[in-house]
Amino acid sequence: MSNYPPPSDADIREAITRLTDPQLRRVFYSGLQNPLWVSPLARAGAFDNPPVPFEDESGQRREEPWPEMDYLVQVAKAAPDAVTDVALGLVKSESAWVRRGIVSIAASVPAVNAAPLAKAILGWKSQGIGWRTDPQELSQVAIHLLQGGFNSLGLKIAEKLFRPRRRDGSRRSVRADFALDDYWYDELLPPVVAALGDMRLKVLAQWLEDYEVHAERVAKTADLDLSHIHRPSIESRGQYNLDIEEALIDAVRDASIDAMKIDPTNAVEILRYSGQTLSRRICVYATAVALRDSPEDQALRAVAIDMAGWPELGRPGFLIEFSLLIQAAVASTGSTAIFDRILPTLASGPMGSPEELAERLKRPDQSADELDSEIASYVEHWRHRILSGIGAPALPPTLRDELVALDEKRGGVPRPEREFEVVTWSGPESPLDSEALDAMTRDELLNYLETWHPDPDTWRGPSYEGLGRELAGAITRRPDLLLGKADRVVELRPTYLRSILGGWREAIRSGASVPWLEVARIVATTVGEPIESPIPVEEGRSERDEAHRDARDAALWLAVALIERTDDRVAAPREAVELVAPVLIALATDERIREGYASSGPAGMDPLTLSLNQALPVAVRGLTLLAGSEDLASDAEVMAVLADLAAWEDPHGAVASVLGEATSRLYVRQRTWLEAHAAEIFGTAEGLSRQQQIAFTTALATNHAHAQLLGLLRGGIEWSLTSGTELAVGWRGMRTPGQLIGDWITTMYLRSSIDRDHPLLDLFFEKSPLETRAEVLGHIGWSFMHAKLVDPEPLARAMRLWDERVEHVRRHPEEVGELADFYWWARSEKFPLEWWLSRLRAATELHPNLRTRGMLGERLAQAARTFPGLVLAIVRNIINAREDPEDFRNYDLMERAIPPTIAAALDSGDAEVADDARKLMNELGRSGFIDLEGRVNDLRKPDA
Amino acid sequence: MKWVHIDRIIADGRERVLPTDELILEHLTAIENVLASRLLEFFDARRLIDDMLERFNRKTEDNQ
Repeated sequence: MSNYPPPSDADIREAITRLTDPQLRRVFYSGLQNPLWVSPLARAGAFDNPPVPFEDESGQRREEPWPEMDYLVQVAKAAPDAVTDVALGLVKSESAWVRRGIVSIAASVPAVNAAPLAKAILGWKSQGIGWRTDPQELSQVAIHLLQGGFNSLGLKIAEKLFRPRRRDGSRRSVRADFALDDYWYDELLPPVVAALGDMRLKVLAQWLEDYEVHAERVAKTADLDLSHIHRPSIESRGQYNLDIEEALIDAVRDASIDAMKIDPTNAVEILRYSGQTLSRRICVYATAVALRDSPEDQALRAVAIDMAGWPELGRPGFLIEFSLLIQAAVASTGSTAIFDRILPTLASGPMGSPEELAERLKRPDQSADELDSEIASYVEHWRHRILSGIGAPALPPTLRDELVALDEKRGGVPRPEREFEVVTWSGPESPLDSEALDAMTRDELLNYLETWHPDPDTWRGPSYEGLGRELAGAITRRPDLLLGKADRVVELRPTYLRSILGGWREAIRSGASVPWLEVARIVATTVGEPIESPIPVEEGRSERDEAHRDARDAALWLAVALIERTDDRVAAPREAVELVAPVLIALATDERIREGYASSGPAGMDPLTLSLNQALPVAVRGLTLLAGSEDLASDAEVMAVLADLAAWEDPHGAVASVLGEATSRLYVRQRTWLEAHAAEIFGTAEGLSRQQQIAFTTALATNHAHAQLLGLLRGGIEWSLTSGTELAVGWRGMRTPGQLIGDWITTMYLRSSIDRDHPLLDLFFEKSPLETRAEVLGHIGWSFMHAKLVDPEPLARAMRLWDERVEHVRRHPEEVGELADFYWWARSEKFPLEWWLSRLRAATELHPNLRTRGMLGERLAQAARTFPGLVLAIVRNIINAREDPEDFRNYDLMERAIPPTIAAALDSGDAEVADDARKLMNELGRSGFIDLEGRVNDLRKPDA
Repeated sequence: MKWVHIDRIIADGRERVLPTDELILEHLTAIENVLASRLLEFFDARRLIDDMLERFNRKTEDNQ
């Protein structure tokens, strides 16, 4: 058998005297496996000075890791007594690293060793258990103690982990002391519960009751308990299934079922103690399940029969569990005698007494007769649900007859578990799916749409909106589904009309052909309809768009889709476009529509986004699509309306943004018109109104840079750069107006549309803020990176521009920030290797903290074998500029670039470069990169 | 430091036991170790630690 030898005094001295550096200590203590070193090291004082947390210059608490603790944790199982002795000497440390280690040790050593450590852990006040502590290990400590006979201590640790309390006085912050997140709470609770043994039900019931009180699920003063809303069925979790309450309910439920099978009377006593409905529901459920599993158990049967008489079982929250109990009792006893116990409950009604029910239901404007009638209806519904829940097979004959009669009178009721489900994630339900609608004849479908209504007794279930969605899907698949029925379609409920119009729009956008003329006629009719729908809103229902407005907007959007011509779509015939054009013209000139738009409140969105949500700008978008249409009868009228709108004072800028977005289109189709109105729409070098700024910035953001358009926008660019005004944004995209201006100008230059001596280029670099210039220069590299191919001329122009800017920075070192985003150029893979490496080196020499944003690691690694000295110099410059060499932002550089760069430099054959590489490697090792040499050696050439 | 003026103590005629060669050697080794770790490049120092670990973690056969 082989054993570790104990260390000699000389060994201990050698080790301690060689560990002169924190990183060397890290190497030693993470590598030492011999457990016999614990006590000798302790005697030599190796564990006497754990690091003390301190505040840095910014006032933040900082804690140094302590490698010694890694060794103690590692050998805790092998040397529990020695490690426990050392750990007990460290319990006063406030370092989170040390506390984490002590919890790890307590989780590893036998319970007898863990106990004194647990006492210390419970005594930690300042800094608590330590934010670095692993919750799994803390739960392991609790399990360890409970299984090792230290019940009281184990329970106290478990309570730290699981007993809910209000952490900051709010019902939303109910957590245990050790604030586990929901996932860990759910994951770690079951094994700890198992270790609680006989006391688990009592403990868990208390924790759940605490939760209900702290979370204010139970109102102490009012007789109100809504636990069944949060947890419809005790049997299984609801939709929001990962939280503390759900985990506790499951744990109490399982513990209750086990306890019922051993001592049901005691289990009932524990669960009824608090009086909370949730605990009682669990009690009823557990009794039912236990009795179903052990139907011959007399004690259990007696408890179930007694329970059936609890008056609270008639209350709505108990319905599911009550039904299960009766079913189990009938199955167990083989008779319906148990119903003698529940008849009083059935007789006293859903609230325990007719008086209380009357109190709940009465309304001030109600007559006595009306109230009596409502009570009778409510009680009937309630009895129906109970009897239906228990199910006919378990009912005695009289109640079975009553159920049959109620089914006939009221229709079947759903199973109780569905009654309480609150399903909020699903969309509106439809009575039929789109395939079923598709399978009907046109008249059948229209008849169905005209006559179907949702169930007035429930606010859930199928709705007009749900049916509308299925209808839209059916229309998109089969655009001729309602062919020839335009007259009836426009008379449909607006929800359906909106859905049908939306279905056609999707069909057109997907490239399908629709019955164009009929669709155009329906669009014209719908837009012309009165705003308010003639169809009454059903009482108690609040469909999203009972009014006609949404259907009209859907018709407008359909009109735009119908007009829009793209290569991948079937074009609408001219006749259909001719039908739609007057509708858009009428709408765009309608004073009521303009007033409605003008008087709408702030929408919190940018003008271009707003333009998608308002009728007027949607109509304008349609007109810009019509502009220049060949042979359109109303073309002149369209242009006149657009001219009118260009001059119109647009309070929200949405119309202006639509004109800005349409700049290219208007230039191609109505160049003369656009040139004549450009100053009005986009402003001049003399100035831009807010509305013009919106059109101008939207044009820059949504159109490709083009020399001709630059001519139209030049005045705005000059005014913007010279005045330094922060422009109003038309579309809140990724680029600011200042960056867009720079993008346009530099793109024009790179494409040779303008030459280097163009005044706009100089104006941009002279007048723009430093950050904007840096962003725009970076953007050139970014756009090259995304281009499949970059021709030699733009590449050469970009390289000249960069060198010119570097020279500028050399003359004006205070402007070095302009070079900050060069990493995109290096990353783009479009520039010659030596060119970008030498420019990157220059940038790192000029810029004190050049950003690399995790972009350059791989590129530098690839370049290192070709230009080892150059890459090494770049890497060193970047590292030297960092205040903290372990900075996370440097991860890419540290992991990807440095090992191959050093390996390449060592293999380069250049003694000076190799020497530099070795120095850098040792510096990085001392700063924490302790395995760097190993990684470098793995990458070196075998014969080097 | 207590050995620095040892000749003066002897000259005083007071009795003083001289440190053994072993003790002096032990102290010199400690100084050498500290200096070596501090003066060596990091990865050279690390190799010394790795050698130490290799010795201290090596298990021996139990003859009992």
